[in-house]
Amino acid sequence: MEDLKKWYRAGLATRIEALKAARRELDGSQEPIESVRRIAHTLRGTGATYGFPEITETAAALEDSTPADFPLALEKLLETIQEICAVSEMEDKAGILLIDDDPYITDLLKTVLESSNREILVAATAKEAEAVLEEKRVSLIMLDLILPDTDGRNFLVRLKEKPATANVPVIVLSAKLGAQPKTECFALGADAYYEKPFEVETICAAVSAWLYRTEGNLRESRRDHLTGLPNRAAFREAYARNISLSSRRGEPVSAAILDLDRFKYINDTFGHAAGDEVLRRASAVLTGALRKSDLLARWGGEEFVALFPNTALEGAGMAVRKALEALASQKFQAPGGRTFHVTFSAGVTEIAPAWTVEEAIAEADRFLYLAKAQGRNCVLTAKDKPIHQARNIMLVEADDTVAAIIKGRLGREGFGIRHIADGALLMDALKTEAYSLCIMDAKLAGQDGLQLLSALRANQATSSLPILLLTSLGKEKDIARGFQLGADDYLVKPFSALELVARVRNILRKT
Amino acid sequence: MLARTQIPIDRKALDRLERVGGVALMAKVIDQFLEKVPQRMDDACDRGRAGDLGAMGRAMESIGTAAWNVGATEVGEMAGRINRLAAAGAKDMVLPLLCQLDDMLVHVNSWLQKEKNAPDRWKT
Repeated sequence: MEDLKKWYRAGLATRIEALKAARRELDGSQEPIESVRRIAHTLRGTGATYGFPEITETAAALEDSTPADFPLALEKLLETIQEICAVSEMEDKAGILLIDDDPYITDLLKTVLESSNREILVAATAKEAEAVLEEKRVSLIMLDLILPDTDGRNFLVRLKEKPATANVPVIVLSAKLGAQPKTECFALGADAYYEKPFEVETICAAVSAWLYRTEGNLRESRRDHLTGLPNRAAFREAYARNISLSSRRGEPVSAAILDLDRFKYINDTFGHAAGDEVLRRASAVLTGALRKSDLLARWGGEEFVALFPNTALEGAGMAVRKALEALASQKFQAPGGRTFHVTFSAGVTEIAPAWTVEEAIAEADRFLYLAKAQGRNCVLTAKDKPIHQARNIMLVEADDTVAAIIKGRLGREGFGIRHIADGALLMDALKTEAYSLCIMDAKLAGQDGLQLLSALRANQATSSLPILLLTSLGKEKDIARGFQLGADDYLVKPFSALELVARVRNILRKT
Repeated sequence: MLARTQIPIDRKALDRLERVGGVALMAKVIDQFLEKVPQRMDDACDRGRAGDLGAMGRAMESIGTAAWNVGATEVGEMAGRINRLAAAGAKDMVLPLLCQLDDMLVHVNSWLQKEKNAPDRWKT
């Protein structure tokens, strides 16, 4: 919800300008009055939805005001939204991290760079800087090359390797003169290099320019444009910060993955515009149903992920069930007036301290898959006992070691695996039992797996069997050919077992 | 070396500070200079005498930056020169220059203190 609020607040500036422009034109003519009433009407309808009931209230007063009350009501609305924008500026401070062990330099920079919309953070060592970066999102880093615990260049490499800081601009401030250190720093990913002694005027101008550019880019790159929610990249960053903080405090953190039920049906039946509207409204409803401290993000497609800081499994499960109730109670309207309801299935897990975001989501996804298998419109956690119907998978793999790995991993997920090494036996094997998926190597001993794929697609009985190609043929043209011949997914060896499981679940969820 | 009667400050630097953040910022930066640079200088002398030229060089970087930003260009140049000599390991050449720098700083500090106390400068 906080991100939606921020997004809404950011748009208020243009409303202020429009209202002020109309106010200047108020000379008794009807046009500016109508213009103001139109803006007030929009604000009345949206304010409370985005968490600003005071906007709805003052906009309603203005829209319904008599001509005599009109000027005063307009002033009141302007005052209200200007106050909200001012709060926004206070909250959206850009973080600047100064990494230098010289207190005079950091004091000087703090003095000249400080402003109401910036937060200046200081670290005297690389270790201190890492601690700051774990807890705060920074928009700009200013780095000295000589640090007590490491060479600044080594730290620059570390910053550029970490996903959370790889895109944060780094300005190097150093007394190392000449072309060599500059060239090296630029090669390592520095965005600017200023020699000490530096002029504060230049540094101030550079910092303002970088912040202007990066804050805009960062905000855009962390937001899902359709729903206004944080996107996958933003979730990853928030995950890393939360896990690190919670593990130090000894607090539990939980995560959930939510997948809208039968979303493909909604898209196919009512059209993509209706599908987009469902995603937008579902995002708003889910955000409203969760606590302010929880983080909801769009993971991709119709999938959402949520992070629950300082929350154990049970609490997170309850929160997601509450969100499901909130969404299920909403009525959606399709073009043509038909109404329908939207639900989701979700898996929830408590995160173990060492888990990466992929591991946490994979674990939650395991329960999401079970929730889907259980009939959808439900939330499952590790404490629930799913009524799970195992699904059978056909595995065509010539390499016994690879086959054993896949059997072991998918077997643990509750799938029944039938393995055959010889592709020639596949057609007959498929006749004897029903399979939900076929995982097939494209390079089979004595037989071309791609030809086999063509044959499967040409055969009426197997034409709709989902097929995942698992192969060492990793060139673009091989992958393209696999898809052209009808593969549903393609995974290149060597592969991650975790990724394979995720892809299998993803295919099965759609079938 | 500066003659005692010369103005040791390039006023353009102070004007630049004023452009960036007004008189308030200029006053803050001068205060920081007056407060921190003498301490840093003492630290540099101690380190120099102890033969820790690396740490002394770092102190020179700090003093140099401080000096350039209040317009003490000759102090900044001297700090840079000492830093380069320290990097080259020329301890014998560094120590006499440190004494000269200390003298220059006394002159600069007293000028800045007077400038700061001049009422017309800060009336804007």
